[in-house]
Amino acid sequence: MTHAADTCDGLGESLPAPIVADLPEGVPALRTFYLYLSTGCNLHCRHCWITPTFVNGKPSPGECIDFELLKAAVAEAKPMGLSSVKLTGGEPVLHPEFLKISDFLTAENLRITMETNATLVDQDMARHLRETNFSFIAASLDSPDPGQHDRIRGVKGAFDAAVRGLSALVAAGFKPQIIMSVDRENVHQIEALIELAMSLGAGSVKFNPVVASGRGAEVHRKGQGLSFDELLEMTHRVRGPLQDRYSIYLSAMVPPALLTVRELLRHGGSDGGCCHVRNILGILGTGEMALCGIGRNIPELCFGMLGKDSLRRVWIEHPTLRRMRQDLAGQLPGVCGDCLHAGRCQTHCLAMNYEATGRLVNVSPLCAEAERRGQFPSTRRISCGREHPAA
Amino acid sequence: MAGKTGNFDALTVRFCLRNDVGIEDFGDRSLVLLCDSMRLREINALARKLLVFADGGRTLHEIVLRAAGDCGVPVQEMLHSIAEAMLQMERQGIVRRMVKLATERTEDMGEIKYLVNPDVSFRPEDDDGAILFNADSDSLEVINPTAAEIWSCLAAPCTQAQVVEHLCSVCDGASQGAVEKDVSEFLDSMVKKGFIGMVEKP
Ligand code: SF4
Repeated sequence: MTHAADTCDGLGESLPAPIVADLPEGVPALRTFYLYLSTGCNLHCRHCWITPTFVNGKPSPGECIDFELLKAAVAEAKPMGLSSVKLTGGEPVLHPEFLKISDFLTAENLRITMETNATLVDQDMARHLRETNFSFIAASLDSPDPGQHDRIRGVKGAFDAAVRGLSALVAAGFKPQIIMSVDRENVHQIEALIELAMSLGAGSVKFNPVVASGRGAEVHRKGQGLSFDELLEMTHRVRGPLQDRYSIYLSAMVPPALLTVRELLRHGGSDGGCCHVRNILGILGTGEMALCGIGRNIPELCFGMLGKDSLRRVWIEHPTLRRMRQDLAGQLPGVCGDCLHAGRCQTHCLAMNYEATGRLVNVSPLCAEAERRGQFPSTRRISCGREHPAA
Repeated sequence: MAGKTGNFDALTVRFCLRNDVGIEDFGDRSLVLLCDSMRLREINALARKLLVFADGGRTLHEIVLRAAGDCGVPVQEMLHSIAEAMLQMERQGIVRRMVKLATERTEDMGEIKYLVNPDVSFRPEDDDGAILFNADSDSLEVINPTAAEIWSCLAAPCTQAQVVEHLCSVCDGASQGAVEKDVSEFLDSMVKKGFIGMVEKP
């Protein structure tokens, strides 16, 4: 299961302390694999940004990461710093060896997080996962109204199945995060969804805007996507008055420059929202090594094939990764080059930057729009007021 | 608070204009723009002259000598008012004293005075708090309104007790014990991160 605007938000994504990695100078540790275990999904969400296979209306696991190749990749990556994996998809649970893979990753002492639609999680599976290294699980619910959730997810009964899965996870001792993919159709249901999440025993709720990528492009073409103003309004509402009202942790990510000081303080004073992409490698169901799930849509962001290409060589030498590291270390483009948050934000979501501009290291589309409208906050510019010469 | 000339150990303290400051002169008044915090201050002609006399780093004694010469007034008569004016401009974030800031306590420090690191840019936002940014180390801190009040207070050197006293006077109903704890924790963490320093004796 893959979410719209599936960017890191620090929650459950915080990377472990770097361990000594055997790598040439200037090459960052490879700390996390994003494992897109299967290319298929049992749901047909209208907004999914990486368009998993759903053959003839039937769920299909599509292509799945070969377990033996995965073992070899882990063995190759551990000396480079690998300490955690995120399981996602498609729907990761559809991988025929899902439980074996979970056990293997646990035996390798890797911290495991997962994004799932939860519809295939039963009590036995939830208990099993609880005994392994799973530290964080996020699952999707797009509406408190079962009919509407089913319409958004493209499969009748998806809501009931997701609630069953979530309840199993909670019963096993997890505090799952619920992720709501938000567009104009369900934006008014945010508060009701928070209440549902609390009644289910979730640990947090994250609100992802549907992005104009993959199937989400159609949502935007139909005028159903959130506009810039609506997206900011939703973010400030979630992180302001709604967070004041509800004790459950709420998250809605935009680049940190667009958050108020109060909203930043909510995250313990950190500016959040950074993409740890310098330390992440995606592995797709096909076995391709990629920047992240974006490799499903954009072939040039795939860097090689497990079993054929050396993972170590790809990580150290692939020109796209080298260029990305150089660009991130140098003067950042546009307003990012003058932004107080750039050190941590690193231009926010590189995959979305690429979709929007054809460049990984570029001003996030939201900050670019804020700047175009003259709404980029002056207090977040390094040069704030410096154009006034000192006497 | 360091609002009295009596708080000066000597007249050897050097003052300079803060580097985020811009000045526009209008006849006998000048407007000072504090670029980091986007605030405006108005100063009179004497204060404007003092900024010229400070000339990027003169001692208070040298500033007084020049001002006394300029006005044709004995030095002793001007000393108090000029020291007071410099201190006020320091508190307002227009000038800063040029001191060595330590990040660790040394034997000869006596009662410690704290001062904000002049390289750190202070960006208050509404009443929500502020952002501190040190361009040299590319480090950023987001602080709440209480911490922002402490920060403003430390535009001039203050002891921990002076900061506590100031905070108690502006925060209604806060218990002295709780304020002491908050101030102590904030100072410790900011000193560790190099955002605030301890003033070394000249
Ligand atoms: S301007 Fe760039 S660095 Fe700053 S918050 Fe936006 S995307 Fe991040």
